[in-house]
Amino acid sequence: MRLIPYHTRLAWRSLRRDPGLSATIVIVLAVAACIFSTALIHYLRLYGPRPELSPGLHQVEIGVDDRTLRLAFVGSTAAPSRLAPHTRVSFSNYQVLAASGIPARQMATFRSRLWVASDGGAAISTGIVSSELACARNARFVDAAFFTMFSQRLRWGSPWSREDEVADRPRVVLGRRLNEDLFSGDDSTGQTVRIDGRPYVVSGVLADDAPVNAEWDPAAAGGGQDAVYLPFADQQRLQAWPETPYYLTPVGPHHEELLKSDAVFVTFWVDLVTPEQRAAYQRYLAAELGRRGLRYRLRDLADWREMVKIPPSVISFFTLLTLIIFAGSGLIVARLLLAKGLVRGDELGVFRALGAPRGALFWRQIIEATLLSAIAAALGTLLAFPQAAFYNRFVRDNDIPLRMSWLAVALIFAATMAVGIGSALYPSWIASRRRPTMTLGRA
Amino acid sequence: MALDVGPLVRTIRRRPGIWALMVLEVAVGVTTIGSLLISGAWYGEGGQQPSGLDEPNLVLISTYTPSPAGLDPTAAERAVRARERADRRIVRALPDVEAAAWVTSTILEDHWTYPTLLSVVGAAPAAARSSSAAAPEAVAWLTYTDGEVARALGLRFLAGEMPARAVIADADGDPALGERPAAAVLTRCLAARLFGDPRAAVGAHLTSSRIADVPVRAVVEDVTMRMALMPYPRCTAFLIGGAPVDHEARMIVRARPGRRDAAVAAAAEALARASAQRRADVRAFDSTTGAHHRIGFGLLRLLGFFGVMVALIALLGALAATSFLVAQRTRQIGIRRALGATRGDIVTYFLLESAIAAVMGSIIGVVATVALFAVMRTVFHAIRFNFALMLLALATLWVGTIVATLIPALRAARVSPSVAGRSL
Repeated sequence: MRLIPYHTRLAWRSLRRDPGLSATIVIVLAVAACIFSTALIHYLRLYGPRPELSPGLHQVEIGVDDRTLRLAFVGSTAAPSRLAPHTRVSFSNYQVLAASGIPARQMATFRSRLWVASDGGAAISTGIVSSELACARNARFVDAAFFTMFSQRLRWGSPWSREDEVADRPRVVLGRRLNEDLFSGDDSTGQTVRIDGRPYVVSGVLADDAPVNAEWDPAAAGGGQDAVYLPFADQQRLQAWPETPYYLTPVGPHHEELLKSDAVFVTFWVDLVTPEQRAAYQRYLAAELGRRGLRYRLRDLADWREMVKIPPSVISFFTLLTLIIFAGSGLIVARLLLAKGLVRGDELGVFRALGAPRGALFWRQIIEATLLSAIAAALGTLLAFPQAAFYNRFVRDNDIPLRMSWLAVALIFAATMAVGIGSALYPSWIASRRRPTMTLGRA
Repeated sequence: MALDVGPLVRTIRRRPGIWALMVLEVAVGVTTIGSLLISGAWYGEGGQQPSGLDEPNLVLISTYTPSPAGLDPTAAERAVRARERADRRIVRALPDVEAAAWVTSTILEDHWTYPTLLSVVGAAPAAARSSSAAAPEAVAWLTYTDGEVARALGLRFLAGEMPARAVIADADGDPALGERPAAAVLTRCLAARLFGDPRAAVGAHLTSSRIADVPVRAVVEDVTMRMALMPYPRCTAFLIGGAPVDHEARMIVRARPGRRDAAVAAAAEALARASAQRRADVRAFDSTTGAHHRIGFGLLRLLGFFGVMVALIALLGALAATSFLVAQRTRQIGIRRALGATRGDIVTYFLLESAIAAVMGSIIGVVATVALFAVMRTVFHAIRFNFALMLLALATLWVGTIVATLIPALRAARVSPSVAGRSL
């Protein structure tokens, strides 16, 4: 341990003796890290760690025949279905589920597209909305409990209250992005926005962009973030047609018919915090749904997360591919270090002849690789920022930007160090096996 | 000239690690560049998939009509529909407009919808029954529209014809107001998937969880009505009538030849004058402004950039490693020169060593790419293995390997035979 500073000094000197080779190793690793970072940020955006939520969260799944979606998006109906329609219920079943009065909290939601504008009615001057209709934005109808049940932090203000709902006061919570577009990101609570042409007072503003895979409604994953959050009851007043209703039988063209139909589009969550509440809710479901012969299942959060686990996607593939590129860069570095070891063979032999143990030579090489990897990791992480900016500007697959998180930075750094040090293991082992007699004999 | 492979074999046996790493580098290079090119081509094709529409003469009008306050739901819906119907009349009456159809989706749409599984009702026509390729059901995208769709989009009929207006109109005389679709027009892609022979579709009846028993009146050439990166973007069923009452409405307008800009200006002005309550957005129809185009070409550029970067770091690494190894073998080269080897022999020797590694790495790389392609097929819809792109990946790596070897090899060939003597 006390020899580490000594070995580090020697390793640093060694790096400076071959600046070209050292620079090559750094560039190779940094470029590979930068390429990997783009896929990694994407991967974390979709598959990253999920937030801590109340373990009492439950959802009632009512069997849905989703053959169409399995054929279209999975390519086969053979696999058991884990697709998002299973997380939704029809409006009439939602009314049954919501009427129990048992859960500590409950929340219903669906998404629609509504005209959102500033109070003067001016269209939003941003290129992020649909290329088809410049004024319609994603509007989510939720109960006020949504924000606490799903740990949605508000930067300013608060959600509407129960009193607001009872008094029928038009209140809205703005998404972070819309608040930037309409109010330059300033505190807009108390201001008025027009939704579907009607005035709504801003009661709060979310602190963060919505996640790509929002757990409160996985059927909307990948479709951009919600611009506004409105009280659930307002959906009837606004006659808001859901964004993605999944039809089980033909439905007429009218909003009333949709609400009465078996089309599933409402996601409903309950928070059952005690065993008594769970048992009571089970009894309630048996009485209300079981009596009608419906297949249903009450899933807790862990079970639910397992059920809607996101299947492998192009993001998984590109993460794998960029990992292979990273591994390839490790091979290049290994060959460079091996070549360097061969050229320095005589010098290493002299060290051995002077009494340096094999372990010392091995660790000196590893320290050398560690120094190079650290520089490459820092450079690769820095390059990842403009790379993400490039993606957000030129690809922009939806309006939720790629952002570097601390987790992403840590993973990029760790992966670069692992590849760099891993690629040095074999060359260091070869170098440490140098026999002193060979060098002395040649001398 | 007889090639002496003895020194080559000895070099490989003396440094198996370095040689194996070189082979693996080429293999990884071929695999990654090949996969990047194949996936990039998939995005590129999706991004530039033609809509099949006569775009230079088309205009897209999007409107948003809010629900009027203070009305009961039925009256509010009727008011929304009345506004939309009035808008269509305004647009159709413009002098530069030839036709205007109401549609619920276009290739430019970039928000989520679900497809539908269409089934053939009862016995299909004889031709369909005899066709082994006929499928009983197929995934389709539904586009609700009206009787002017064929004229507005310039649909080319393969079989059947648009139903007569009397068949598709409801009591109000406006097909879009119908309670249920009166007829279906299928694209060739969808008709082929359902019936094998597209002509066999006419006269059949379709059903699904979305629609009940709709007769197929015609089959048209493929047009892309859904975002091109989705599955089956050309498998569309145009349903005449029966669309949900929504705030959003779209019209595709065919302008008179050469009058598109005038039609855009006139429509925007006329719609703005007609009502200040609803939003109207009028623009030239241009599928290159769609999200599929931006995403497809953006990713094509990004993946291409990655491919170039991979090739460059492979070249840089190979160049540096080979330079080091050549420097280390200066004495050996000097001895060979002293024993009569020409400069050409030295260059050939190094090139051959790299070529063997490149060929072996390429074989491993192609096998690995094929294995990786099996993974790609599970996540990229209808992706094809492109042999030309694979050859391009191989050529890139081979050229890179030769360049990375040639520069140090030429330097090695200049080593004087006297170096051998000095080293002894």
